[in-house]
Amino acid sequence: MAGTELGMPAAQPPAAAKRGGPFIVLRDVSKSFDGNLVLRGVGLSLERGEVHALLGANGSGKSTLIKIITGYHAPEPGAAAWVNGRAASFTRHGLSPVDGPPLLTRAVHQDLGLIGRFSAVDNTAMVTGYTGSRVLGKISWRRQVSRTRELLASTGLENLDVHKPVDECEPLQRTQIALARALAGWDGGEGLLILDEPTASLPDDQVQRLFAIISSLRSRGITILYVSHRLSEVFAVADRVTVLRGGLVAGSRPVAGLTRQGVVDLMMGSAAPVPGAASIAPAAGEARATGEARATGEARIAAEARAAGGRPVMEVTGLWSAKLCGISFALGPGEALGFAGLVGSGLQELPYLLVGAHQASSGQIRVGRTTAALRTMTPLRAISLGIGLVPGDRMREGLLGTRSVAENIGLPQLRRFQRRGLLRRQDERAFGQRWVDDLHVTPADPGHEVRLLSGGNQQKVLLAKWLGVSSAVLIAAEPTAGVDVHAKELIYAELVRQRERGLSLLVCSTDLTDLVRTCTRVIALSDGVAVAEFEGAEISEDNILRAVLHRDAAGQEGDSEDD
Amino acid sequence: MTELSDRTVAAPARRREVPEWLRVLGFRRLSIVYVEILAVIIFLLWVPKTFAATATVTGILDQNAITGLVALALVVPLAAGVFDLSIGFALGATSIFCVWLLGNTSFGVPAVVALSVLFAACIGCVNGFVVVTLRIDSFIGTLATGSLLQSAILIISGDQDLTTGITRSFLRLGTSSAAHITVPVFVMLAVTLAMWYVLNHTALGRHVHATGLSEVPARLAGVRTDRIRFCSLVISATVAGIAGILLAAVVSAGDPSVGPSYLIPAFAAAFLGATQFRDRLFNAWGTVFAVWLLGTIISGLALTNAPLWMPYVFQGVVLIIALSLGSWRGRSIRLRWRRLRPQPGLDDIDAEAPGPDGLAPNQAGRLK
Repeated sequence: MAGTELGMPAAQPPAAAKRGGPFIVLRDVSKSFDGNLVLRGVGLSLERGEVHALLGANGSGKSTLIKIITGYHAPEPGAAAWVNGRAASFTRHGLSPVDGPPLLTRAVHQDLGLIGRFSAVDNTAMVTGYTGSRVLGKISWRRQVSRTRELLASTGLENLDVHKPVDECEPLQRTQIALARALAGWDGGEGLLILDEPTASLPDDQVQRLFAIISSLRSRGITILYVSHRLSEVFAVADRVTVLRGGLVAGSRPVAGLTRQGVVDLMMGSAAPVPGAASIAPAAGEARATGEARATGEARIAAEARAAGGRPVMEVTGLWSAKLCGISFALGPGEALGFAGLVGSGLQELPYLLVGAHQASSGQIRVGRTTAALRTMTPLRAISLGIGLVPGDRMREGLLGTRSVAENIGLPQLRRFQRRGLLRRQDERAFGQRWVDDLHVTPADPGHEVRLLSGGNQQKVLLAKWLGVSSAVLIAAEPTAGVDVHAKELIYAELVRQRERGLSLLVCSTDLTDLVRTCTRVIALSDGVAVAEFEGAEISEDNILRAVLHRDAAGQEGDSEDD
Repeated sequence: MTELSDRTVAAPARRREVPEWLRVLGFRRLSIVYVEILAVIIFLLWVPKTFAATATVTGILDQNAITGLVALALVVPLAAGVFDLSIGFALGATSIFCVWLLGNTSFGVPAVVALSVLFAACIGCVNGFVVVTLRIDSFIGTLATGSLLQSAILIISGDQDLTTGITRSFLRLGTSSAAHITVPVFVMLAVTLAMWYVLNHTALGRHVHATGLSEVPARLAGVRTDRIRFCSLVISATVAGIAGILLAAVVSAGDPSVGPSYLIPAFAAAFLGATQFRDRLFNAWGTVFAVWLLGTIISGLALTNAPLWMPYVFQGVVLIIALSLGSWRGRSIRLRWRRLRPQPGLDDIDAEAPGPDGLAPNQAGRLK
C-alpha cells in the first residue's frame, strides 16, 4: 500500500498545500535537563523533499532536537513551529498544525530498533499491525507477507526471504527493513523521515548503496533529516546542512559550495589553523589561558620525567585486533597518555585488549622487564604485571553491587589477605578502609554495600579497586561515564594526584574533557589508526576533536612513535 | 540503583545503633533457625509423646542426610552461577554403578567406593565440558546430560533393582553409628564443614561467589571464572555421587528410579539456605538448616497422622514465607510490582538512547 504511493513521480510532491515556503520551520527551541541548558533557542528550516543534514559533536544537542521534533521531549515554553506555513504546536505526537492531524514523523535510530530474532514480516508488523480475522485472531500470513514485500520494495529490497530472522540479514538489508517499516502507512506521502546515524553499523561498501537508497527516497519527495557526525556523508547525501554547537545553531548552509574545512570550522566555532600541526590554537578567554599555563607545566613535568627516568614503564608494539591496525606507543613514568576517538574507532576496545579481557590478534606489551604477547594476555596476568583496568561500565564490568566496598576493593588481590589458607577479613577491611579514607568515599564505611552508594562514590570504589593493583600502570576506560559534575572533578583530581605520585596513566575516553583534564599527551585514533598526537599546550578539546573528525586534514601520520 | 537512594542516607546511621550480636542473631539472618524452633514447639505441643524422643531427632538427621548432601552438592555450582539439574541423575547413576561393581566385579569395598567417586567426578567433567567448554546454558545443558545419565542408569540396571553382591561391610557405610548418629550424617557434616570453610574463609571461596554474582567484573579482577565453573560442576556431581553410594548402602540396593526425587527438595533447601547466615549468598550451613527444617516438618506431620498431602502444603508455605522474609524486603517487592506496570516519567534518564522500540513515539496512535 504505502510502497505504491511512494512510487509516485518525483516532480509532484503529493498533497502539497502551499508551495514556495519551507516545509517545516522551528524557532527558539530550548531544552534543559536538571538546569543544564542543552538547547539554547535553536531554529531549523526544512524544505520539502530535501535531505537536510544535522551535524554536531557529542553533546551539541542533536539528539535532544530530534526527540523534540518526534515529540519524545517537550521543548521549553517559547518555542514555535510552522508546518506548511501553518502554526504548529509540539505535542506527544510530534509537530501538530493547529487545524490538522500531526505531521507524520518517523525516525530510524542508529540501532534500527528491530527485534533480531523476528523475521522481516514480524518486524514490519510491529508498526503496521497484523492483518487477519477479527474473530479468532488468526493472522493471515499470506496477506501479511505480500504486504511486507510491498513495503520492502519501496526501499529497493527485493528477493529477501521475509521469514528469515533479521539477525541473519546483511547490515544493509536490516537498515532497509527499518526504513521500509518507517515508511509504512505513509498515506499522502507528506511527512518527515529522520535518520539518526544510519551508517554507524554499516560496512563501508554498503554505505554507498544506502546513499543511493536515500537519494531515491528524496526523488519521491520525502523530506529527510539526516543526523550524523561524519563529514564525508554530509557531502555525499545532503542538500543542506545545519551545524549545532553547544546547543546553538552554528550555521545552516547549502552543501553546494561548502568545503570540508568550512564545516569543521562551523563545528569548532573559529577559523582555527589545521589541526594536528605543532601550532598552538589561539588562546581565547581566561579558561583557555589558564589551561595553557597548566598544560605547559605538565609538559615540563613529563619532559623532566623522561629526562630523569628514561626508560618507559610500558611499551606496546604492533597491536592489531578486529578494530585496531598496528597501534604502538610507549608510556613513560608519571606520564598520563590519553587516547581519543569516536565510537567505532577502536578506542573503546583498546583498554580491554591491553589487559587481555578481549583477545588481540597480535601485538606485544612490555611492562618493566617483562615482555608478553597480547594474543595470550589474561586479566590475571595483567594484574601480576601491575596493570589495572578501570572498566567503562561500572556495574556490568566493574563492581559486585550487592557486596561491600571492602570486598570489591579487595577482589583483584584476595590472596594477599590469606594467611595459612584462611582469609583474614579484618585485613581486607583495613585495606578497604585505607582506600575509603584516601579517596574520601562517603559514607566512609568499607562494610557498606556498593549498590547503595551514589554513582560518583561507586566510581571512586572502582578506582580504588584498581589503583590497589596498579603498581605500574592504571588504565582507565571512560573514567567519568555516568557521574555528575562534582564527582567528575573528584575523579580528575584523583587521577592527577596519582600521576603526580609517579603512577603512569592510560586514559581512553570519548569524553574529551577527561583527556584534557588528566593527560600529558593525547593520541587521536580514527578507524583503528593513530592519526595525530598532541602534547602539553596542544591538548585542547578543539584540537583533539578536529583530529578525530577530520582524518584527511589531520594527515596520515601512521604510528606515532616519537619516544 | 537510584531506587535505593533513601536507604543510602538512612542505612549507615541506623546500622551503628544496632549492636553487633543482635545483627548476627537477627531474624533476617537466622529466620530459618527461629522457624525451626517454632516448628519444634508446635510439634511438641501437638504430639508431645511421640515427638519428644531421641529416635525422632536421630530419625530426622538420618532421613535427611542424603537430601542434605544433594543440597550441599548444589551449593557450589549455584554460588558460581550455574545450575546443575543433572544432580539427581548423577546420584542415581553413581548408586547403580556402585552396586553393579559390587555384584559384577571382585573389587573390595574401598576400591568400589573409590571407583564410584571417580565415576561421579567424570559425570561432573561431562557437565563441565557441556556448560563451560561448549557454552551451553547450564539450565538446559545439565538437563540434557541428566537425560543421558538416565539412559546410563537403565542400561546398567536393566530397570531392575540391583541387590546382588552387596556385602555386609558395604552396608556398614549406611548403618554404622556413633552416639546414634550414622555415617551419612557424619559425611554430610564433614562436607558442610569443608564447604563452609572454603566458601566463607578462603580467597577461592570469594572467587566462586564473585563469579556467580557477576562474571565480567570477576573475570576482569583476575578470577579464572571458566575454571571455577567447571570445577563447581565436578564438585557437585562428586558430592551427589557420594550421596548415591551412601544411599545404596542405606537401602541395600541399587534402585534405578531413585535419583530425580531428590532434585526439588535439594534446590528448595539450597535457595532457602541462601537467605540465611550470609547475606543472600548460597552457603553450606544455611542449606543444612533448611534441609533440617523441611525434614522436621515432614517427620512431625507424619507423627500426627496428617493426610498425605499435608507435608507438601507445609513445605510450600514455609518456603514462600522464609524466602520472602529473608530475601526480598517489603520495599523491593513493591518496587518489583510497580515495575510490572508501565511508568511515565522515565523519558529523561537517557537523552541519547532511542525510544523503547527504536521508533518515534508518535507512531503508536496513527497506524491501524
